[in-house]
Amino acid sequence: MFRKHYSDAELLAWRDGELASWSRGSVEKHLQECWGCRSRLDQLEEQVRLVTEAFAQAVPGDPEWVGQARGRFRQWQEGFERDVHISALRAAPLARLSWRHALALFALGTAIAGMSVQGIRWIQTRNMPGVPLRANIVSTKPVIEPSAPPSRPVPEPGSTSPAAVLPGPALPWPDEAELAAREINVWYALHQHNACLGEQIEVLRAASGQWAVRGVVDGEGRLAELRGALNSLPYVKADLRSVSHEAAAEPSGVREQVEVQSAALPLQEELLRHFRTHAPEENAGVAVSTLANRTVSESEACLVEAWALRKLMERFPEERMTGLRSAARLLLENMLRDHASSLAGHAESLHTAVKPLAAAAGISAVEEPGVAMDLFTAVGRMDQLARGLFLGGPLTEPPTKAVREFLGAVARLRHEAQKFDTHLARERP
Amino acid sequence: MTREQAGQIIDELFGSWGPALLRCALRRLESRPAAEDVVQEAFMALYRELRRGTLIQNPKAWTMGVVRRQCARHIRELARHGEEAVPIETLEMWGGTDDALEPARSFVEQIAGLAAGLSGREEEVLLLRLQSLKYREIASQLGISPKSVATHLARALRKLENARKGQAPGRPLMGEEGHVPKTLQ
Repeated sequence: MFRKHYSDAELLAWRDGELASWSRGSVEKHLQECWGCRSRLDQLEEQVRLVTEAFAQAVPGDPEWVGQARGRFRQWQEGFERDVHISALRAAPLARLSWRHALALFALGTAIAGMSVQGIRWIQTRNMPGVPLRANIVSTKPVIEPSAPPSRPVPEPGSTSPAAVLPGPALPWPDEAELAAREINVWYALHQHNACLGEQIEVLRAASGQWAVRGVVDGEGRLAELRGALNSLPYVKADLRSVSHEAAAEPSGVREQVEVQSAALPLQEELLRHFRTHAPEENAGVAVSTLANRTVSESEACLVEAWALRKLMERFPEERMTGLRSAARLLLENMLRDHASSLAGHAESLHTAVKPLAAAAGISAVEEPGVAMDLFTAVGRMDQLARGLFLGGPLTEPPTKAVREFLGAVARLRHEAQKFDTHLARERP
Repeated sequence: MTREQAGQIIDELFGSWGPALLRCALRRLESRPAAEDVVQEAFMALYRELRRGTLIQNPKAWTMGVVRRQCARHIRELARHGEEAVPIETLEMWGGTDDALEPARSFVEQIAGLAAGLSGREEEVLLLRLQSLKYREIASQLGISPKSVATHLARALRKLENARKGQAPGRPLMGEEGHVPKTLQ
């Protein structure tokens, strides 16, 4: 059911951050849906701006009056300090106590003292010999700090920013848009250093609007690189460690080239025969090994790109993207597009690489799996079969059927990746 | 609190808050000397309390309360003696009737007229909110609930908005005879 419109008072209270937390959300939601309340809020903000400006302007004659009033006050102050004894002034509140107050205090004291022996002891210990009880009371009286009174910064006469008008209470906690923007900045810093591609790094929300980046990276060089990238963000606590073994020399972003023993391939004979027939000048063993290496590394590349894409899409689903600031949204879209186009590229080159496999297995037409298989399922299945076929991993089906399914998954992946890339490019050019 | 500390607070308050308090008193008393006396008395009372060591959370709201009570007392005394408040001489109250003050006329009248249609409570809430006080602080000082603060504030803004829209551009808010226009009432 559509809620009634909010009153001016409620809108103002919301704008000033004075609404209770439980009703704040419903006002925000309503404002997103209701054009009338939104435009009324705009009018109110404009009115607040005008009123603030009007009241902040110096009226001719004010400075003169302030000067005269200060002068009069100083004259009075001299007389006051000369005539009135401040110690008498301090005792005045106690002296002003009426007999009713005194009686009430006495009754209260008696009641407390009569409650228990501990009570009497407590009063005795408080009232130390030589120090009267009244002195304790007077000395614990709070004293106002000499700091300047809070004063409102006078806005510039020409300023038009509504945010600069009635300065609302300082937010003790960054709002949701700010938090999301910070998170995207962290992801983008990692993205620029390819740390989102399969490395064991996670971004977690920490206290006070901070973000913690945890993980294990390869080598001290990589560690320093990532720490340097994250240090520029003041709200990030980088909790990264390095694995102290041979991977220190491995440059970032370069995927491992997996060495494959061609002797273990399920379709080795068919592939060797194919290469001997079609490329007799090449060493058939080397050609098979190259095919296997390329297939496995492209398949892994597809997998990490797809995972990076999926992670971003899960962190920032469509409903969260609508509330993002434009700068943060731009960064996020850049990252999404990078991964999508990279995935499409890897899928394309994988598709080219596995063509000899289809010929060797005698498969003329590749059947794509049904539409129920989405991009991420296709990647997962394809990588699983690639490991089975070229890395000696477990295979549940006979090799010919596995190859057929693998080729189908590759075709599906290529198709879906291209579709996704085009969709992103069209929707967010 | 020492004499210097209290004096410094009062000095700063005179500059940042004195003129607003003075206008507030003027609209209630309609007499420049009386309004000046009331504001001066409020600052003196604040100084006395500060010297005494009283904890005053928000001196602006506190002085506003003193001004409100003093104005009410002043009006009661006038009524008791059968006297009427003297109407404001708009330009006289800002220090003269010279031609040099002419450009300031409409602006001064606007300021004087700005809050003229507001009730006392609405004006107090608006002035205190313009001093960046939170609703809770205003509410505790005026003895009302934070929700009422929001209501008064919204009503004040609505009245000022109506007054602004009901006027031709460039025309002062206050009418030619010094009366409040219909839209402000």
